Amino acid sequence: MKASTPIRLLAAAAASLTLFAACSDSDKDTTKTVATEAVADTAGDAETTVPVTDAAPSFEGDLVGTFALDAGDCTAAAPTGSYFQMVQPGGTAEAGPFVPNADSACKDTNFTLLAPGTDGGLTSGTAQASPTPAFDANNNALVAAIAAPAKFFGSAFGVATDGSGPIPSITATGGTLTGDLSSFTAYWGGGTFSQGSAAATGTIDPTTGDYTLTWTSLISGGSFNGFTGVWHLQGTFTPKG
Amino acid sequence: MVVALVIGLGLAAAPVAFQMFTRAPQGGTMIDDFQPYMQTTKIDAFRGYLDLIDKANTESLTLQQSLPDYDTQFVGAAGLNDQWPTIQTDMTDLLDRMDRNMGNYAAVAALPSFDLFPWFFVLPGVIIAGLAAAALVKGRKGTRPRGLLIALAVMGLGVVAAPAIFQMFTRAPKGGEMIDDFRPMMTAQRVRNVQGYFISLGGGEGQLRVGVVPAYEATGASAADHPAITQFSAEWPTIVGEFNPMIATMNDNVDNFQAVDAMPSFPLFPWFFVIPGALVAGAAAAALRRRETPPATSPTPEKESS
Repeated sequence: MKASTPIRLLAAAAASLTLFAACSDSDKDTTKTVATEAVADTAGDAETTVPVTDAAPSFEGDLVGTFALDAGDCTAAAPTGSYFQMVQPGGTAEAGPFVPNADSACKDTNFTLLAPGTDGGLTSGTAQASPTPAFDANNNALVAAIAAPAKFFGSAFGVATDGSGPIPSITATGGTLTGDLSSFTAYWGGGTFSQGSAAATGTIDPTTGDYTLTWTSLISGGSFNGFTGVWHLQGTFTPKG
Repeated sequence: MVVALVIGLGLAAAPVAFQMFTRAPQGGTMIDDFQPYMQTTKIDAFRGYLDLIDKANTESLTLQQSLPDYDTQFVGAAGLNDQWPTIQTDMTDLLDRMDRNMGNYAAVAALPSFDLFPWFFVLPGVIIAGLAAAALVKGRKGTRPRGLLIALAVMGLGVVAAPAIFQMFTRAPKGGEMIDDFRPMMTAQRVRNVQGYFISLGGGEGQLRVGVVPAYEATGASAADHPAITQFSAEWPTIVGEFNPMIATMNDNVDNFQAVDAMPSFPLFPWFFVIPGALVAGAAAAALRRRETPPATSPTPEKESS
């Protein structure tokens, strides 16, 4: 037994060298070689290496984190980024007629652009409640976590996820997003409007996290009964933590 | 006593027949929801907003003449100019209806809770039916039901007196007047019209502020010459905050109003108590009198009968 000790030391040294060499190549590609056993009983089986794929971002399953908003932009013919439209009763999300918003920054005033709020965007797995009070003395909404308050019909509106409904949840399946945003609520003109949907849909790039989320929400009851909100959020998803 | 029994059962069943258990609380909800708007100060404030918008509209018409392509370049403002006469007439009509029914509303609001309405029929009805049934049973057993008959008579008189106690003879017709006057404004179509006015007003205000006034000032003129437009824009967020819940109240109470409107006419309500109450009291009194006056032809002393 004593005679085998030098052989074991040699085997261990060889395994360590192999490990070092393997690690030095790791930043050339996404494949690593990991020594699973540094010490072997014999020189012949001193090491075992297993090739593994690097943990590239892959957004799949329940996504918990922040869906950061890209600010809406009207430079191009069609708006990009995040925006909102309101369909008049009897209209459709595709063809309108929409409620024109004179305060829109777009030439086509049917679009109201959204910009990221203090949280950067919409969080899934956590509610984003409105502050108290939710409005200033001029009925401008103070709700600003998801999106910066935007002017609509002379008053700033804000959005929160504090309405009736579960905490926002969004799931990715092969690049397709589905979500329950039932608690999504708009604050405008001193009142609240349920603007959630349990059927938000969209897409996500599984590697970059670039996403789009859209949904429509028919207002039932209140001063805008029969109107439909059309929401389009766009940006990049960042997982929590 | 069969008459009293039938009337008692009829009173108890009336709320079910008229669906009062669902309709009356809806009426109560409507009365509560309208409370903030059935006040002179509130109506005056709304009239003030309409006056301000009227002045702003008049001023904008002068800008329309000053700015070429006003109608095509500022469609929202031009739309407001076109629609304002209709909006003003219709909104003024709404306010007038609310204003002239202030007293009627107060009278109805002073009535006992609408939620209790069905029970005002059910409870006396059940008591009357119970007393009448007990009197019948007792009479058939040969016992003299004098106490029960007196209780029935008192109950009947109580039912007769209830409308007077609750001032229903004056308040209920006022409720009827209010229902009649509100009928044209509490429809889904009228609410949709008002929603449309809101879009016209908001669209017009916004375009005056961000389009028309800057374009006018770009000609070297001053917006200070048009103070009503400036004031309209300054007050618009407040106006939104006031109109928004009022439209919501109208919209959310269309069903409630229709439920109340489907109940029997308000002015008839006192008589739903007086007539059955009088019949019960009368029947009880007659029965008492019969029992206290033995028939002259009776060969033997009368034994209790029903």
